[in-house]
Amino acid sequence: MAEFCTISFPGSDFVPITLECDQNLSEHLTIQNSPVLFGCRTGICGTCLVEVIGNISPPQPEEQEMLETLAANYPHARLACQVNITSNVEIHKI
Amino acid sequence: MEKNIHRKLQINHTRNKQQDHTALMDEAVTNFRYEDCQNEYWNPEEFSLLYGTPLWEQSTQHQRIILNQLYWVAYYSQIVSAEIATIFFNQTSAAGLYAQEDFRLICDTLDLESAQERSHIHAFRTIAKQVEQALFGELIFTYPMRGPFTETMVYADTNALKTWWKKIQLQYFGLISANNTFLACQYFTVRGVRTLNGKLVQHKLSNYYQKHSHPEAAPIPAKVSYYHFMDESFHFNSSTIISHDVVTCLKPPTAFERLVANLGLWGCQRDHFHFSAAINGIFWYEPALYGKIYRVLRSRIFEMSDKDAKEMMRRCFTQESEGLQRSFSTHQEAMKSYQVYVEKLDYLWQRNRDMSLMATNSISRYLATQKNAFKSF
Repeated sequence: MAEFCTISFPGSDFVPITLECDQNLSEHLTIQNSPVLFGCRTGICGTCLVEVIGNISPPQPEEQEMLETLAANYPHARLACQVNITSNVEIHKI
Repeated sequence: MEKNIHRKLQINHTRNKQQDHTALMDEAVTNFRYEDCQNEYWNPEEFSLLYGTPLWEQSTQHQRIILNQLYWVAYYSQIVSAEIATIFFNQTSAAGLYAQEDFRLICDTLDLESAQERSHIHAFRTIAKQVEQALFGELIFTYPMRGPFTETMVYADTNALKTWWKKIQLQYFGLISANNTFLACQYFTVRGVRTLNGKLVQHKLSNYYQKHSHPEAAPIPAKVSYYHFMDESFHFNSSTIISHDVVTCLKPPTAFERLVANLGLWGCQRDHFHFSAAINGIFWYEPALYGKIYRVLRSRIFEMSDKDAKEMMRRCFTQESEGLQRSFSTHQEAMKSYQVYVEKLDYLWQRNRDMSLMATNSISRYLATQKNAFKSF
């Protein structure tokens, strides 16, 4: 049976979204149902830069390199288009 | 230039060179034979010409496959236009950025991007022409090569006077942006917005290849969609860095520079005002498409009589349908995305920040336009 994860957006008016686990966020979030703007959708442009609070896999080296230029002072910063969710997460726009 | 901005430019340029997909695209196109993939979808099903309209509902499986392939042909014919313009304005903007320190990195990036655009154009036109010749014995959506000073929305609501005026404006913008760093940067706001729109759809088109059970066996046009999507990611990133970051290193714009910048974005809103029930994701002026759709319906694929073709078009274009709802939804998502993309650019007029021109379009307005225009078709 599929497990489900909830993505919530504290501090915004967007309602939480429940998805099957192991989904890529860029397949399901839009600018209309979340505070996240997906630009290039390949982990380069930084338009989907967010803070993710929750238990997910750490960034791959290419994402990490971008995060160092885009948000060096945010330990939980991630590029939402590169994130697969594996647990409930909170997303904050940076 | 600030160190962090330079670093971003450097990463973008280095990775684009390393991950350049044009060789793969050129090779794929060399091997393209329509007969090898004529019996399969090239895009997710919902990205088909006139998907979700009465035509789609009554089409056979074979006809649906053709409509799916024609979406690819029509969609990328518009991208050809956009890329021709991009090649020219990349060069004028590179000249305008010459006055900045570290200009070479940006110029090298734009040179690489222009070379990639030429490869993309070759791929789209080679495939589209072969398909249309095989299906119709003539070109319907594909058109001869053209210069950069024309509408990039192929079927824009235009006439001879408006076409002439647009040409003058584009030529003048090219001239002044080549000698003005702020306006050179501003071009990338418009390019970023247009690429952002492209990404909304191209992400979904490229999914067909990425999620294919045997990607190597995927139809070549689907591979081309994916390769193009990957190259364009770097182009969108350079647009974003130049228009959001590099611009902050410049003196604040003068009143004239603000005016030109805002007029450019206002023109972009005008280009993206319409939405099309025929092609979800392209903001074409639908009545200019009637003649093309009529030819498709009269072709041997659909074999409709004059009367049946016009009745089908009346139902598709002047009545609400799932396809129309989907296209309007894409238009709304694009508009909202543009608003967020430009929100930090404080020199923009409020009506550009709000995308208020695009916001005035609606399904009821679309239907009223179609009902009026269809009377004279």
